[in-house]
Amino acid sequence: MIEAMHLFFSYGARPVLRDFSASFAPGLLYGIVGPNGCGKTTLIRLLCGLSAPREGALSLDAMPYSVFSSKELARKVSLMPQIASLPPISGEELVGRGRYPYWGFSGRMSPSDLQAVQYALQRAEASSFAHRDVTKLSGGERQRICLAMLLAQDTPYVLLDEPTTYLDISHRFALMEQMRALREEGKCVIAVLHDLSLALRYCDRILVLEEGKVQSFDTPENILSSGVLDRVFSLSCRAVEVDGRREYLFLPKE
Amino acid sequence: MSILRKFFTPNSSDDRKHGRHAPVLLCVLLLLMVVFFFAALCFGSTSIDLVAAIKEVFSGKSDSPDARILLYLRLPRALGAVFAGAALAVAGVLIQGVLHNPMAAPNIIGVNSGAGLGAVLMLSALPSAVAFLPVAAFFGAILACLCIYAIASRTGGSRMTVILVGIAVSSVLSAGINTLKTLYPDSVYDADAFMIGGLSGITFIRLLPAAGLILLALILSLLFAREADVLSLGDDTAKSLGMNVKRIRLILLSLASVLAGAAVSFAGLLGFVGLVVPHICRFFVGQNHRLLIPASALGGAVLVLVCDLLCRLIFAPYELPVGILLSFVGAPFFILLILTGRKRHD
Repeated sequence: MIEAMHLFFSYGARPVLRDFSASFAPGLLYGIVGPNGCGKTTLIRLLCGLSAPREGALSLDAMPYSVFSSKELARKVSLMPQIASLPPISGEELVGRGRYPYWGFSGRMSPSDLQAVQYALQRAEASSFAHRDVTKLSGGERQRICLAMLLAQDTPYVLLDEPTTYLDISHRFALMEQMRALREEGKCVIAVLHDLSLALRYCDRILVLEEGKVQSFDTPENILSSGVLDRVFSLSCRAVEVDGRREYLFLPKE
Repeated sequence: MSILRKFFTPNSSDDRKHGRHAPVLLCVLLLLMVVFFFAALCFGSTSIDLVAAIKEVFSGKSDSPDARILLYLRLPRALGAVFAGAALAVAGVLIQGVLHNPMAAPNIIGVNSGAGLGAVLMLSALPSAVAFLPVAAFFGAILACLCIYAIASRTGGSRMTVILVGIAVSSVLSAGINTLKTLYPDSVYDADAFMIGGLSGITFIRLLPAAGLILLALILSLLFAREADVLSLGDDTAKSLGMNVKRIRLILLSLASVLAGAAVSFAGLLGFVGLVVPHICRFFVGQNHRLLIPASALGGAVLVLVCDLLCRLIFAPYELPVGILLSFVGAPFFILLILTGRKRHD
């Protein structure tokens, strides 16, 4: 369980998060949504320990973040890397670097590291192009390599910051399925999502952020019926039945 | 032209190729280093009978002119070329890795000038403490490194901005060296050769402490190769993988400063080794520092050995400081790098 209590964060004088409190439990897929500049990325950075909150406390399995060494924390919480800034190395090499928190001082990959890399590549369906230079792959392939790196890090808490941005629609569904599969294994998956319909369709809980404050933190059904999305995003959200499945439409506000 | 473009574009590399060819490349470089090392002992303004001279040196009494030339002139000079080349090339690899900037060579962003300033300051203030010269040069180099790093991270400037700021820092530090040279004209032996970088007049007394430091720093750099790999993924990713980014960055910059400082302390402000060699090696072995560091060390040694040999032979019996030739090779390389880099980023 990751618990955030009364977090405040600001860049200079501009407050980004204001009195943020929430907890994230294992076995659930969380979607964080909100308009641009609402503090989503900052929240993810705080949750994975990249930045420290100005005020408030973060705890992981009832222990404050500060008791973990940086490598210990990296064995608990992982963050999907940004695909925009990858060096020109092979996918396999990149995924291997995801095992960094498990390396000893010698920095050699143990057999279990190599096994984890192969398993992660297979699971992310990236084995076939793992030997190629990642800077030469398509956006979708690169994203699968990054997913494999995340899987290789093998942590109980998995964070993703807008993972679907560079993907076309079918890859988006595939990635959401992968996140669901991680949740099925009992992991806690937290993703910042731009695409509201993906969030509503796949997530177990949705956290709506507006100007650094939690507007709502609930199941998709309750989020939808409460009308909070309509208000925060200034639009009109409708659920419709298509072939017996619930789909979501977003219309401009009349 | 497309081959040229491919060569100068670091992203155009297939890693599968690198893994296979790397051991071969390392062996070839090692062989080249040995060959040119012996060539450097053999050839010069006078040719000597190497075998006889070596025998004489090993027999303990080196009385003949050949043996004296070998032992007191050519051997320290060849060793100096090996150590200076290896140190400056690896310093380039490390600095470029930390700054994520393939153009950030130690001579361009002022690390060499910083080391030079430290060394000249020491020579002016305490002319007798020659053994501590590499230490003084280290402090000058790390000052320049941290200065550039602070500017790069504070401003979040582009790669080219960092290079331009580095050039400015470099000129300030060089101005400092020139001031000291003017105030204490006797402090630096052959000051002109020191400014451009040269290997003439190297003695074992000046070489050995620096060589020891270089050897130590090279071994430590190899131990931190994996860290350098992870750091090259970017600060955020490295941090989220559990790396103490600040500490590793400081360690890598310190190692680069030890290497550049030690090299400058006996070879002067030798330029462009740290730019040309890492770039060529990256093309062949890729971004894996475990291969890149040894390949660059060997490649740097070969480059400086070859250039120094040419400098002694082209106008024999006169000789050029090796830094001149390196500038003739390196500066056009730098310009090409800027031009091809432009095309890629714009």
